[in-house]
Amino acid sequence: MTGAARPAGTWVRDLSRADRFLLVLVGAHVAITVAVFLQISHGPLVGDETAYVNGGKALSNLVRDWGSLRAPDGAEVAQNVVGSGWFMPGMSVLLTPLYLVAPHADGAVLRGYIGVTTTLVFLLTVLRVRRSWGALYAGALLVVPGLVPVWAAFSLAAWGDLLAGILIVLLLVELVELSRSLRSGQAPSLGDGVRLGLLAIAVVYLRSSTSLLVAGLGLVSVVAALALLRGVERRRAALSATVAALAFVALLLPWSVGASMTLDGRVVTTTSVPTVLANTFGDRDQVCFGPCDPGSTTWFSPLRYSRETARVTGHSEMDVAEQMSAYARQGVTSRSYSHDVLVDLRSYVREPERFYGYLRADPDQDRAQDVVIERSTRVLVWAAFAVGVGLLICVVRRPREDQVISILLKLSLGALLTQPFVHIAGPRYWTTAAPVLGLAAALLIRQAALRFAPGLTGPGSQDAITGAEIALGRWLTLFQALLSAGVILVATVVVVLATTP
Amino acid sequence: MSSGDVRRALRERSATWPVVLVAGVFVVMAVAGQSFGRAEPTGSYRPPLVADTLRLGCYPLPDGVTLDFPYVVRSDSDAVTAAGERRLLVLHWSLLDLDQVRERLREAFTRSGFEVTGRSASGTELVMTRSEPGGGSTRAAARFTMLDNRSPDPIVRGVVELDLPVVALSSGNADCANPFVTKRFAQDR
Repeated sequence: MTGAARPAGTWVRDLSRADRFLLVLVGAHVAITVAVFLQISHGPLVGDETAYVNGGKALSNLVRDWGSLRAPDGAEVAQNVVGSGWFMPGMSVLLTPLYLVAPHADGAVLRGYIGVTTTLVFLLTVLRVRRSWGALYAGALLVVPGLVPVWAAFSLAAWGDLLAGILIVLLLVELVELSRSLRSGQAPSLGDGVRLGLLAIAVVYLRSSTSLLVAGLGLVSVVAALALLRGVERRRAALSATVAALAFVALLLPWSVGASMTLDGRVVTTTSVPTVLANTFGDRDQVCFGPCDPGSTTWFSPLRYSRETARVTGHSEMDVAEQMSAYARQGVTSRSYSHDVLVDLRSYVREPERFYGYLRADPDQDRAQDVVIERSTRVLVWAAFAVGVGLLICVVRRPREDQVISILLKLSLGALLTQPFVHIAGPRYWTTAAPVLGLAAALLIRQAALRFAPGLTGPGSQDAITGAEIALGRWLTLFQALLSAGVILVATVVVVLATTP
Repeated sequence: MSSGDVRRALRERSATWPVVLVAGVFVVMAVAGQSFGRAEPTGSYRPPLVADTLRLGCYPLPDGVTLDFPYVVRSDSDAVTAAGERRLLVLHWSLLDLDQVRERLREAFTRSGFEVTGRSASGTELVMTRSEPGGGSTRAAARFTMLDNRSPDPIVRGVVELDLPVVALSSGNADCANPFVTKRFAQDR
């Protein structure tokens, strides 16, 4: 560090005004996270957090056994890491070092560990965005989700949704840099391919419902590379894409194979989709070829039925669940489906602060700080949703890089918003989309600034005016228009179908 | 070397070092992890699946009757009927047609002394009776309903409702206190 010899504080004065502002936002984010930590550190584990924690503990024992050259406890790993194949083990892997060092760590230590890890990853991501896309995007991230108190609460919790959302930003940064090299006629290197593949699989390991996003972005990138490059560069790009896919598959396979062998059936990512569809769109009284056992959840009761049936028939519990789901969904019509999608969308949007109530130690009494935390979350997240709507329907015409960012953000948000179309939505899923919405806010602000204050141009706004760039610009505009039209069409069809008798 | 080359070289080196560092820390932790004791996962998201109520003998079928077709118990309850207090045991059967299941069920009951004393024309209802040594008789009835499972290779096929004499809890097995095993839900007052 060169700053060591200079008087303390000088480096702050060397920073640009924008960077000083970013630093203030970083401070605010950390302060909010610490404040929220103090509210929830003695609260309970909520819902599926238990599954991830059990997975982390079992993995730590597995590593212990490796370290001492003992035979690992396969049954413990099967029961706690694979479980019923409902969750990819990304968060469990993340928790493994904690339980390796502190096998009996309590809730506060757990929340602290997750909080420190998540905050580090978030701040490194912000730094990466600042370097690549500029201070405006970094600042926007530090506001949404950085200043959203309940997002801070989730950053202390063991669900993978939030961390997946942060890694999606890193993936988007990589893809924008890829677009830069494609526009200059250069293929990505093999190293770039590996990095993309690893990032993509990390996102999926943390939250498997992001598979569509990862697949969609991957497909669009490959098509763009093949369309924009020629000759040797095109072949190199194809090779990089293959390497990316191989890296992705190589890391997915241990899970898929392990889970398939444990559950004696085919598992690619997770097994929960059939039951999810049945519970979301089907007749809940028919999920177990009739009502499921009372006294348990809509997840565990169908699971027990499928396991019991699998045991006596020799079929896999996944095959049974598949047929249970189809049976429960026999009465689904386009109207009932659309109606359920709207219900899901409502639950996705309505109470973004709800989980704070579950995570708190004393949910019965509302203190002043709880009201502040909940209200400010609602205001910020609803504003972010409004930005999301703006993003989905806007068409950016210049500069090229903003067009690329617009497309990537639209695809990402669109893919994340498929959740209410396939899954009972809850007030947790927005945490994955929040960083995308923050970046979208920056894009819209930039576009507004370009229109109303053209003097304020940031990096990438001066495009080379070549024939190829102009043609590319047209394609990027057209693609955005198609995406926006698609969103409007889907929204209209769903509303019309749900409301017509 | 241009500044770009330097940056690239740094980047490549910086890509290797973290990997080596993480691997090193991992090995140290794996070895040191012994001394802190083992973690204790609860396994609560995948509780072990114990045998069903009939196999455990919590609430058995009439003396000697064992079913030899793939079934799961769905509910088990006692109710006062016109014929006095009776037990209603509902099973889902898999993989077999209605006729096959009816035959297997009939065989299971006749093996332990029951005789078919009634049968609906459609073959979906069966009444079986056994004379007991001390006089009197035991009556069991079964009603079969096919499920509309339209999957190409249907697993779960139908429902058997068994009308049986009431039986008391007959096993001290701790799992027999678990309603998810006995499927006696409404009765657990």
